[in-house]
Amino acid sequence: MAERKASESSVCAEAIMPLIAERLAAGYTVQNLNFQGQSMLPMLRQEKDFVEIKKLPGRLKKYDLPVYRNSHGKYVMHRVVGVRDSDYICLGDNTYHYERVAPEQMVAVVCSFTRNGRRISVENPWYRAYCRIWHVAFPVRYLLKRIEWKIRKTVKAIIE
Amino acid sequence: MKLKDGFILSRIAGKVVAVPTVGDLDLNMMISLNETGAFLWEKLQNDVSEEELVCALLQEYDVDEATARRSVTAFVFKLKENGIIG
Repeated sequence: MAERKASESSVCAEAIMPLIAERLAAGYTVQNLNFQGQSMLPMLRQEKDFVEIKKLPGRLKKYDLPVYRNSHGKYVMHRVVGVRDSDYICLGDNTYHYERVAPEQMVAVVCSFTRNGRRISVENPWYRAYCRIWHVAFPVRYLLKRIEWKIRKTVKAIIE
Repeated sequence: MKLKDGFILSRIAGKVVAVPTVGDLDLNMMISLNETGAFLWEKLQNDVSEEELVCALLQEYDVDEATARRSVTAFVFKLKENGIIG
């Protein structure tokens, strides 16, 4: 008859975005927002971790984690890895292609996240260090990923 | 018993959901209601007893008394557990 919203996967964040936008505009945060996908691994795991978002602070900074609407109208949460005059360059922690995002596509920004039941602020120095190290390691991660893709392709070709 | 202030019913993606109206929005505090849940929620806008809720359910829906009582008890327990009724 009544159940906790968190276990109700059919009411996804997309459906409640108008409500979320209204609350953010009033200056409140939105807590325990879940998400779908693997693009922010290893930091955020689907169905295990949750984020808290707040209204955009104006200009975003490098390593901020915004929620934005991509060109297909979907809500996406990827990290800012480049700040330019006219737009931002965003990249998921587990993705390998950059996206250009215009400021008007931005909806909100993550102010904390809950991992293993522990709330971690985006101001946490260990988290800030993770952001830097993970991004600096991008070329190495990309190389390793390409090697993995090649191996997979080769194995698949041999099996077939 | 009566619902505390601070929640509104909202229809989201075809579902009726009780949403906290003030302060930071904790999505874990949103409660999804089915049809009878929404019916009982409306009744709880006024001060009613569990017995009155059972009667209302019996009048509105084609259910036997034992089922209605079980549903009301479970619903009221859930709301009390979440501090929504006092």
